[in-house]
Amino acid sequence: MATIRTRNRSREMLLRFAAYLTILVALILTLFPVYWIAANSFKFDIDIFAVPPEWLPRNPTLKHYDEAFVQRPFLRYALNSFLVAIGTTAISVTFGTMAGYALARFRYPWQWRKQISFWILSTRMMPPIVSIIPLYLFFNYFDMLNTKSALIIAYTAFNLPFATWMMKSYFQDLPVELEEAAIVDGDTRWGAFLHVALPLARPGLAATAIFCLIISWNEFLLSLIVTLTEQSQTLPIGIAGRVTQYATYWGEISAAGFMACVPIVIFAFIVQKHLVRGLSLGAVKG
Amino acid sequence: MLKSEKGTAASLRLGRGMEQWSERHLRYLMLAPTVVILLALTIFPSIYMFYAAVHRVSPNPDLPWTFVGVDNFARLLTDGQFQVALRNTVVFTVVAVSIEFLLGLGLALLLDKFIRRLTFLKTVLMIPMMLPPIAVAITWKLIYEPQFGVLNEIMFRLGLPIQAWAGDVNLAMFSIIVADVWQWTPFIFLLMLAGLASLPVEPYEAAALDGASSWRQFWDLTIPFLKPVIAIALLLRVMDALRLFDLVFILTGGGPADRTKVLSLYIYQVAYRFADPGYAAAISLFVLFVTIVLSTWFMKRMRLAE
Amino acid sequence: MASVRFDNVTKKFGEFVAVANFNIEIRDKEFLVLLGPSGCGKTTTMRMVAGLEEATSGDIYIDADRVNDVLPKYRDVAMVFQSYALYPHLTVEDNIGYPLKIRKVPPEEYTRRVAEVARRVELETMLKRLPKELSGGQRQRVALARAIVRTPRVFLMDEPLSNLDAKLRTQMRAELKHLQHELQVTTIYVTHDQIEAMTLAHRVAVMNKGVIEQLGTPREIYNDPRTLFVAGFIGSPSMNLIPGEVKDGVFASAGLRVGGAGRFNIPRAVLGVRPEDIHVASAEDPDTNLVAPIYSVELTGENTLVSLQLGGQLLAVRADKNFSGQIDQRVAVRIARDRMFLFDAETERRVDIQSNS
Repeated sequence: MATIRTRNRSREMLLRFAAYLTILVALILTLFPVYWIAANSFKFDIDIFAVPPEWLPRNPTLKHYDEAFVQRPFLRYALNSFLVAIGTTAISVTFGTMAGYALARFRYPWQWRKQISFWILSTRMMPPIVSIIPLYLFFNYFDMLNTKSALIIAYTAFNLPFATWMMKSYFQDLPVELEEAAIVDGDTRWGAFLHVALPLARPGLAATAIFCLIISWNEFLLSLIVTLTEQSQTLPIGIAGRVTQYATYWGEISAAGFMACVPIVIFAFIVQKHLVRGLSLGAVKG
Repeated sequence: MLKSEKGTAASLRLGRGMEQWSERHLRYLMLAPTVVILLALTIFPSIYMFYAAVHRVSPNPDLPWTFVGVDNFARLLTDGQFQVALRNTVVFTVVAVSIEFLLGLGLALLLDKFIRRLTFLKTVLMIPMMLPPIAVAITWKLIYEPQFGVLNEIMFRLGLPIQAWAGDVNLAMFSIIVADVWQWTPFIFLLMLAGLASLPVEPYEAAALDGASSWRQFWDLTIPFLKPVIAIALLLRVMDALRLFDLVFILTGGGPADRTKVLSLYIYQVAYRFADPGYAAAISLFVLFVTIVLSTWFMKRMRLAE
Repeated sequence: MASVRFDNVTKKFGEFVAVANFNIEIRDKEFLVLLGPSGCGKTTTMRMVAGLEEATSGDIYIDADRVNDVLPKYRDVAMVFQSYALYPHLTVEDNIGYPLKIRKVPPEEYTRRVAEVARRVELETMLKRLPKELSGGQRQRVALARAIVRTPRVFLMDEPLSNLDAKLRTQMRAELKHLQHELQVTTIYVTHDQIEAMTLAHRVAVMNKGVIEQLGTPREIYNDPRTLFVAGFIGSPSMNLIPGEVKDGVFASAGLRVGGAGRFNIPRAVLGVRPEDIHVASAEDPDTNLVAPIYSVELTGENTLVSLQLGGQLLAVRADKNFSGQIDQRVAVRIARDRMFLFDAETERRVDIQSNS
């Protein structure tokens, strides 16, 4: 008995050691690339090209930030990204909340509830590349290429199903009796949604909105197709534009790329409790 | 049955005038905007795309389209580039998702007990998948850089031959996969952790009392319990992998020698570089068909819609 | 100040019939209890009064108003939910005042009425707290207060006591009864607990599979069960129901013969007799109906519950608290003939033997 216990304990120690070692390695592997792009954004060009690499910037400089955000229109790109993200998030969260509520609560004839939920989810599964051609031709026809409205419309195509499913899952977590109580207490069905369900779903609403912002902020392909001008292009397009056939402007893209990551990291910490649900479209409740 | 009915009940009643009407139709009113928007954004493009796929389409909007029937679809059968792109996409999807899955599940099983309360650390580990794919792409481009990249420095220190990585015919796909694994393993890891955290304790205690080894417990309890989460994780990853674009666009541009040309990139090139939207639409329809079949089969099996 | 009437009301969920052809008139100021096992349609019936479910056919009246198509907000009923359904984001004060807020009651009156009701349910010191900071009994009181703050026409209570522990439940039961008496508001109360039904109700409607099995005062329901279901459902421990045959007024089953059923002939009959109506006798007593071995002896305090082995089933007997029999010992018992019931197993209805003998 005693020997068994000792053996178990040493095995547990070993496991614990292995686990913490793995966490350490995972942390280094996770953080190094992010650190590396940040480090390079603060180096002079000559130090970026140094062999062997300069692990810490010896002469830190903000030169590339000046190049990107002052001399070149990266501030403009970031603003475009931001405006498009806000626009599509507002639309998606507003309508997605209502639809998610309806799908969580109401009865419909002919199994509509199931069919519509399923259909909305499948639109989320659609790869963006397959819609770029019709969207391009469509925006071209209506003279909407190179506008932020076009991007907002295009992004809503995948943010709206996402918001609907997220909010559906949050509303399903709320006990239906609360809204029934409100109705018996004299509220309308809509009032029960507005006064009871919505305030209770507020954390979910915030998380959903932040996820929509992240998804829009990160989007690349649709923006690449729909926008060609500085006035309408988003940050990812701006960055890709400095990777040319002839030269890659490492300092500039590092600075812009790092700046593109900063809000995302902040958001990630804000929604950390909702990460699992957000990333699984509400299917897995974290 | 009664329970689910009760859950969606709270029916609508007559009131006065406008109020009465809106209460009565609230279930449709709240759903309508989303349905209309999504219909417009998915059904319309699909029809339009089908229309384009049976035409020779000029990128110049002023030129007329000429009807070509199934020509564009027939081309799929003989187009060597398309077949290369299809094969690359399948290879990438299978290899990348498999590695991410095994790595993510393994890490979750190993670290579950140790990291459960380390929320901050967990979130830090989740950062890669939240980052803009473009930022990830340029980061890895910097790491893979043959002349001054970090990876070759490490190879050199280890006494290994330095490589062109993303620029090497044999290593390009591998390089793409590594970057994708770096970004998306955390996703599997996170979902598996969530799945493990929701496992009930009693069956394990019962199994331990029954004398089941931890290996048996893993196969008889953990895997069956995790099945739904695994299914969702794989579905989402496969769908994501099939649409891979950003990484390839920045890291290799599809090269070298088409070794990393994936379907999304090929459609993009056909539509814009080769200025043949009709044919691009035909390929898109093929991709759409495959994803619909795949995801429908998957979702039906997992009863995800409920 | 209102009566409630169901006129041939049927409620279906898809193919499932939850409430079938329901007819009842609940009188003004009456305390009516809908009693039945889960899934019997009692909650659905009540929810139709509130307007939370729509009747598939038939008419529901509150006083003279047909309310089938009236929005819940215009029905002026109040409901206490099993889970209390307190708004977790509102304080006790705002929870109680919510019905007033919806009705746009002016602030002075709002404060006054909330305070008044809070005092009545002894929550005046808790007004600023959130529901999660209250005990189960206090939450129950908030739910009650929210219901009475606007003196509705009808109270609806859906198993309001089932989430409380046994002691608190007894206490709240008394308070509820007192409150209803004081407020004089028509009340419909749903429960599966027969003790609650017996103690609270003016009348009890025993429901099963969507229909009323029997409607009557608690005493009638207990002393005069009309159907096999009611006989078995009411009473604790429940009535002994012994299948057998009646020939020429004599009930016979394996090991048991009881006379006194007039001249009836019932090929498939069920004899019903409550444990307290079976008495331990001596084997020599000519009235002895049965001698059987003891299966178990349970002392409950005020008396002893003895189970006898009778063929394949157990016969419960409520014996004196000083009963001293042992397991496997044989005892003789006598059934009080005037307190036994006979049911026809085909129709599950009672055969009236007393008036026919």
